[in-house]
Amino acid sequence: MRWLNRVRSFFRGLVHRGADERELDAEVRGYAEMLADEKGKQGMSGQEARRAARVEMGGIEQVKEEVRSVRAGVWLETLWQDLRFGARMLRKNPGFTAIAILTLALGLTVNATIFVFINDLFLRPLPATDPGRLVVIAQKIPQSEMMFPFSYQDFLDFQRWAEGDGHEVPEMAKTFSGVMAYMETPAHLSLSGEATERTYVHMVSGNYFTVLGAQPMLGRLFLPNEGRTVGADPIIVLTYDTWRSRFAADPRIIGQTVKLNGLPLTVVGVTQPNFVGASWGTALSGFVPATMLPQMIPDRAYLISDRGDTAFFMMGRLQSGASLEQARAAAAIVMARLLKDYAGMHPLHAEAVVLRESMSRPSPFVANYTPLIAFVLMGMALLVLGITVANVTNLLYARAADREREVAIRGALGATRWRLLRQLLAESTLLALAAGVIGAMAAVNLSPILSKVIAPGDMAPPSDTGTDWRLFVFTFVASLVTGILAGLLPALKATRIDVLPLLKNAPANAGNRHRLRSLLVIGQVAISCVVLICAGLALRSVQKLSQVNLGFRTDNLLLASVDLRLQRYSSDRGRRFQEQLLEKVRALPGVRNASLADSVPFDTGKGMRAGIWPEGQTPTESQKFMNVACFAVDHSFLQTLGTRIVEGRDFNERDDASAPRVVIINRALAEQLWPNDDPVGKRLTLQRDHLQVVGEIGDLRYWAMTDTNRPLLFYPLAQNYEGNVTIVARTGMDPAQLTLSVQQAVAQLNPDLPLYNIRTMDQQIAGSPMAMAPMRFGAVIAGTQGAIALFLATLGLYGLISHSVKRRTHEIGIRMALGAKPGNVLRVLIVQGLRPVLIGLGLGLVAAFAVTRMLSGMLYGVQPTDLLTFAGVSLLLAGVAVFASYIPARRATKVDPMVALRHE
Amino acid sequence: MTEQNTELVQGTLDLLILKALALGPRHGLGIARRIEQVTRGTFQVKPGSLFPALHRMEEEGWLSSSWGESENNRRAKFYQLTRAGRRQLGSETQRWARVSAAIARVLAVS
Repeated sequence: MRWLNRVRSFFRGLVHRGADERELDAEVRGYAEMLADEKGKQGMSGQEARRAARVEMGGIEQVKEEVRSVRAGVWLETLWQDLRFGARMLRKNPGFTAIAILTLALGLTVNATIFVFINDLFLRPLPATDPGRLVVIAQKIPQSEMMFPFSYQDFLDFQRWAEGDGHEVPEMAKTFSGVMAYMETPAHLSLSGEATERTYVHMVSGNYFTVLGAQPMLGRLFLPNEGRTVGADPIIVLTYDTWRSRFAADPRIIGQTVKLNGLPLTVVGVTQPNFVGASWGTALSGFVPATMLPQMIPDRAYLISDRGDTAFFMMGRLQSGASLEQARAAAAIVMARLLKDYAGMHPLHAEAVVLRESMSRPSPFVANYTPLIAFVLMGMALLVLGITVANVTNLLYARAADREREVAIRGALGATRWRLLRQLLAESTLLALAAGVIGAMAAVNLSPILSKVIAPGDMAPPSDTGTDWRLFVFTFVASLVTGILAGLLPALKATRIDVLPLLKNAPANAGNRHRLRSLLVIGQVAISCVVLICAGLALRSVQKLSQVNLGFRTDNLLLASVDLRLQRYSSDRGRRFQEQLLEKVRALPGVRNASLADSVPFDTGKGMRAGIWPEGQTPTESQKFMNVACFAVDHSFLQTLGTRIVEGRDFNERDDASAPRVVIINRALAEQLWPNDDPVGKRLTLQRDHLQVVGEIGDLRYWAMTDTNRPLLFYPLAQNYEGNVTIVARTGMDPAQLTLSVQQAVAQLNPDLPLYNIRTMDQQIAGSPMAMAPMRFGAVIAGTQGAIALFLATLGLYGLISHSVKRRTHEIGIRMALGAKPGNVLRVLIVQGLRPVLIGLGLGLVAAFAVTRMLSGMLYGVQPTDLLTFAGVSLLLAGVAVFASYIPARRATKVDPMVALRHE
Repeated sequence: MTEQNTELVQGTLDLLILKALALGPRHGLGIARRIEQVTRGTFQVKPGSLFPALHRMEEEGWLSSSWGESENNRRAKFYQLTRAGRRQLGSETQRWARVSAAIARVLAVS
């Protein structure tokens, strides 16, 4: 039984603290002193007596230790008893148990699922050697919270000063043992004779794996001399997952050739199964030396040669003992030097940001926003849990009323209040633990689906989400706390009962019980009223949103993307390809119109450019940094979307590369630039570009369905070539049916070009994390909670009326004997049932009025005091109330007066 | 003092303590002395087994305790039977009577 001893000593620590411990000490010492007194009386001297006493006792500490271990044992045993008894009671009431567990499970599922994200975003260590010493280095400018990467040339300086002899910047060498750089990029991966696949890789510095402390599973990682000379190392290290899924776990893969963007690379190694590279959140397929960039993506060769082009995040490993503050100071020194030595190649006032790796997720770009989003999510989850706990507390209250007698009897038999309390808490905790099991399992199953929804665009979510032991510890603790919270008030109430009247079966208390039940019904009706109104408002918002005019027609649109850059297309070849592709798609049967765009509304990563102002004017501070969404589109784009031009003209075929550069802007942008003037014919400056406005459109929503006034502009693809484009086809039938023929059209032009992210516009909007998802999520959660609360209220009301019918059988019998009609009796009882409902409804409406005000920011198109919602919910509750009292009331009218009179 | 130590039969200690408290509250040493006295020194209860037993029985709800003054004006913890303790004493006594009768019979037969 060694394990038992261990468990005991563990609990010993829990049970014995402060007061207990002091008391025990006093008790045992007191014993020793009394023993010494005794010996003294027998004639020993004081000192002798004390020594003899101590010898006889066998050591004060040993005695105390014995007591401690016994007490811990008893503690465990009673806990076990409580749990067993609790389980028995729960089994006896399967209906109650099921409702309570399901209610709690809902709340815990939401919390566990959110926790999976929190875990991924902040808690799980990166699978690397000693991940606590890894930091991400990025830069930012004071005007923006958004962080951005470094240029490769800047990185080389950071690396030289960190890993070199440490003369130039000794602070760097002292704090960092190494600095590496990586750039995440999509790539086309193919094996000879097989279809090309769009994946993501990291373009990395040669010391990438060294800094991470990674080991290969097969072959080798990069050698010290690799990744130094441009174009010299056509090699790739594959990730374990890609090796398994793409190469069938072929052990002879080492030395074989794969093609990345058409460039042959030799596979030199495969990483360990759990290795995810330097960043969470993306399923990478491999790692290639950054020095291969000019060969892999010829038109972006400048990314490693040009100090002004920032594409690489850096990750450093701190020397053991070096602090984050030291790292920040060292990076600031390097940054100051770079700004001085290469002025004009860096944004003014750029500063280096050093973050712990665990604070840089999911991507350093947005790391500054992650805590806020996590905070909001956690808040929502806690709110749901709060409602859940309130619901279950109500349920337990009702049960406490039914169990008064049992509790009273046990109290009379000598159980202390603490013991009874513990017993009741054990029950609610058991409920919550069972719910926690469901919650954890649901979260494990839900999180991959959710991360797929949240992962931007076509990027594959990581196969391994945050469902590790932390999830189970979290759910366990959350369940414990939830169970105790939900059970505490009802248990306190139940154990405070005056024993005598109950044991005497005196009806004196019945009125009291009755009042408790009425209060419960009132409370439940009020809660369900509030929650249902919130759900109703959220639903109405979703409904309103689906009717919103987005500025284009969303039906019958098929979207599919190709990335010509990754297939080594020059811009001339790319233009020709795009023309041929459009021609082919337009000719497909069922296609009414087709166009191309570098991004389309509700894309997650889209082209935002900052800095726009009327040409010839000095830009204001806000114009200098104003973000505007830019869409490079084929001239038929607006026509294909069904967007109306309100002023000026649409693009046409003559707006080509040789024509003057033109732009169409939306009303929001026009109002920003020329507040009281017609924009058509005016000229504007967009960063370094000078464009003439030829047309104006109304509002077009492209980010969230709720926002209206975001500035955006369109310019012709012909004048702004982009290799990564999305086909937009308007069809006369279900657009999904077109998928195959579009795929064939692309394959006819280039069989090696992957067509990815094929979706309809409706799917695009439904899948967009910003468009509508938060509102829908809210409606579902609030709706479910409201339904549960409504169900509980119905049960409570039903119980109240049938209890009252039972109690009044005698009275009803007399009334009927005296000639009351069944209809009269029915009415009396239903009115009695309606009273608590109406009170609850009144309270609920008042509370809802206050609560929905706070929601007004989240609602769309409905007032927080929407009459339809308030009236609908009131009617629903009243209807349910009549129904719940009608059934037991009808039973009362069936009572035979003779039986009723003999009832007592 | 003459040491005439007899190992306590498992479970007997509880009965002895309950019995020793039947007449009123006592502190630890008082319980030990009372047991020694009534068994004429056959059972000597050491604090190493007495205190764990007292605390266990208190957790079970058979005993309750309070602080008071001993005969020599020392602060001491006094134990007394609860209602549950009295019931326990009753059932333990019956059980013991049955067991000892049975053993006596066995010994008589052989």
